Amino acid sequence: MHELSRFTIGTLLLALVTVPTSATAQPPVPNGVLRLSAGSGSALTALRDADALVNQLTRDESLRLVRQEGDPLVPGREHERLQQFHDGVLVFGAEVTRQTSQGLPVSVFGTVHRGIDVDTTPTLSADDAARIVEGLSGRTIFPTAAPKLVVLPDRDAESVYRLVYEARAFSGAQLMVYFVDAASGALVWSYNDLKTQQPALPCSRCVIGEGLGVKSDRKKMSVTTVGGAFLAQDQLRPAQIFTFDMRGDLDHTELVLSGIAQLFDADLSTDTDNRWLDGASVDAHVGMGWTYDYLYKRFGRQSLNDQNVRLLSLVHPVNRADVFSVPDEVIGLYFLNAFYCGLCGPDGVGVAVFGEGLPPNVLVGGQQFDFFAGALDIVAHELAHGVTDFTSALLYMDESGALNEAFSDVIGVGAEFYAESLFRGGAGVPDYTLGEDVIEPGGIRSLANPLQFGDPDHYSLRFLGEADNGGVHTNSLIPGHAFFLAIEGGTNRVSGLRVAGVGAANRGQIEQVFYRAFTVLMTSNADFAAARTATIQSALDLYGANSPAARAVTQAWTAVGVN
Amino acid sequence: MSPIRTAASTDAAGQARPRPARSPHPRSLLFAVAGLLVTAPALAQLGQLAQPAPTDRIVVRLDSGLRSASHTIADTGVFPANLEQGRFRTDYDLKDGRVVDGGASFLLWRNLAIGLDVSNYRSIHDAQIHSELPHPFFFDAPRASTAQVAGLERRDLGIHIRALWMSQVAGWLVVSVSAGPSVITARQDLVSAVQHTEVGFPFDEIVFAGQTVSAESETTAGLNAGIDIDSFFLHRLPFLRNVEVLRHVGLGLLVRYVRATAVLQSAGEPIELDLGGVQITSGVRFRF
Repeated sequence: MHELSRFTIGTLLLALVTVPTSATAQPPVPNGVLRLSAGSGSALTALRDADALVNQLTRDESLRLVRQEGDPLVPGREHERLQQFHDGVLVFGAEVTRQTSQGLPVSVFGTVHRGIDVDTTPTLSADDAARIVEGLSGRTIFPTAAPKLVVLPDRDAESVYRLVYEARAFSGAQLMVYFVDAASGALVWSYNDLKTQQPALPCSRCVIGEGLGVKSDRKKMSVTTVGGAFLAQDQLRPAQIFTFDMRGDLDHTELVLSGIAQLFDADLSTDTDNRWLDGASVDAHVGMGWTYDYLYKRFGRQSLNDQNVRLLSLVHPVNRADVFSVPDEVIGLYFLNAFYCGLCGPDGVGVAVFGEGLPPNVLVGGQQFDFFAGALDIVAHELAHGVTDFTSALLYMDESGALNEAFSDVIGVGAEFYAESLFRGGAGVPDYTLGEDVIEPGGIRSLANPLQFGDPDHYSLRFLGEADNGGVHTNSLIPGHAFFLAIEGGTNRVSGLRVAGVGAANRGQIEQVFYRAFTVLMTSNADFAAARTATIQSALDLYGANSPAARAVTQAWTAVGVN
Repeated sequence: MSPIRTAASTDAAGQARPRPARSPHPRSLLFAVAGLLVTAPALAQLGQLAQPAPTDRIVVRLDSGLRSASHTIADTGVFPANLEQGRFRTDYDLKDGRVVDGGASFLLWRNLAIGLDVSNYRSIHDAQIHSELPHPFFFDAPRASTAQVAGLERRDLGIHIRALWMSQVAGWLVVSVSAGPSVITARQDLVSAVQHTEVGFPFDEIVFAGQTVSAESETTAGLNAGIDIDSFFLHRLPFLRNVEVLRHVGLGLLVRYVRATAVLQSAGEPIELDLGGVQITSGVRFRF
């Protein structure tokens, strides 16, 4: 991530302390970017002063409360998420999370900008901006995602802000986010927000069906019967779960993702005798259900938004037989990948798409690619992007993007460990490798040994280029490896530092530590250092200062070079 | 739900095997010992005397009393649910019950008589039902429930043919030993199906909602043996001495042991039901 000039919280706090505060006299706060990172491990004065700053900015209406929720893992704790606004216009990437206990601050994380000087009256209308974005993307922009005004901090220059329109457009292979200058119409910035699996790439009609997954393993499916047919619609879980079979129709798939085409019952995966044989449909449907169960049972979370938003996936977005006649970008996205499109779908709430894989006789890099839905860790990984979208909304580039990917890997691995023991009777072997069930031999990423796939296992080896949104996938293995070390323990290959993990029997502790840090403590532009602080804070909150979990998390981050 | 029931118990290795219905109960022995103690003096006297035959040819009995039947039986059933087999096991806690017993004997020759008795045994007992219902989402992840069901009925209607050796121990006391075949119709309430209510997501718990009870019956043959002690002393009491009819009325005690096994044909595997045990009854006697 580009380094923004930053003022340390200490500098800020010094200023706060040296100037008497009162209801009328505000402390002099330096302009620029302020990164707040104060928790149980910080000096008490730092936490108090960070809390005071948030209060002051809230009184100024610079910070607005956008979410407030209790803590399902630590009773008595409250979490606030505050978004910064400038003259009523949202400041992109500027938000704060504050944890309190009985009204007293426990931690404050986030980023705020001071001294913003930009006129918030646009020259262009939103319709003008939409047309510009359509011209840039070649696609009609989402009906549900009309351009909205934001204040965009310059990514390179300090204290430079622009009033821009933010708009999203699905281009068929990318979910592009465009920032168009609200005065000139010029493109200021854009990035691809498509969260891909790997780089470049009790009701009356409810019934239980039997399905054979991609690996020919028996599974129970919660489906719906309509007119004698059986549809892949799960109504038994609090969040409805839909699996749609696009039947290899790429055009239809893209229209659905763009929100232009609607989905109907006829598009659902279906079966005539409730003995399902389409492995992709079976595993996508069952995998989403199991991921829902995992999130609920491990974290008390109810679907992606914690309010039981529906889960929706598309399988067979393309036809395998077409692999030799389609463009590379289609192969990369719809054959050799799975992805989560946050604002996609008819209702704009997000869609997971699972790639088709390749014909059995076609190898890429010596690996066979089967239907991506056949790997539970991939299914859970994609849905976890939805959790991130509804919580920290980690910006999908650079370190925050790598954290976004890392969290999905954590959830993917966690779901696999959780499910293998409970649901498959030990038939499968859970591990820290992503996608090994459908990408054979090997998989695509290893949290245990990132180097196995050429990914960095230490911060000093991080990818600093611009490809892959700044290396969101490859750099995700740094926090991912820290997650592994905190559970299993071991010695980091580069640093030689040893980590005393909590042990596999206590893996749930580390999963909860990471989940809590990523969903309630971290903000959208968190970097690895912030993730370290937030996860340690989470461990302190959940298990105490001298707990094995707090020690393991601290050691793990240090071992991978994040301090 | 269309349950298929089987009669089986589970041994330590978890293998289903036919279950012997009988489990010995101390109370049966108690009854037997009590009977022997009561009749011992008479038997001793019987051995010393020349076993004179009674003079009256017909004795009619009407008794009530208790029968030892305390033991447990188990029954299991399976039923299809959520692509797997749900299971339930019912442990019936059979109890001692009341017996009404009546009959008559006819003196054929010297001390030898033949008799025919009818007995009716009834008890009300409880049962424990242990159920396992398959999970709707996962294989091999059953949810368990336990419930108590009360008011189950067990009834045996027995016809006992007896050959009696009757001895007039004293002018007012007749002691008889008897044995013979029995025909018994056993009727037992059995849990034939269970019903549950789903609590809802995450479907980790179920609520037992009820059971279907069906009465299964079977007629079987067995053996009986017993001792009767009939006393006709009422007319000897000072204040009843002038009541002539009381020469034919007495009081008696019957200790009977029955051995029989019924096999109840349920929808699944048969259930062996032990109909045996000791019954002790007492009542009035009429002799002619």
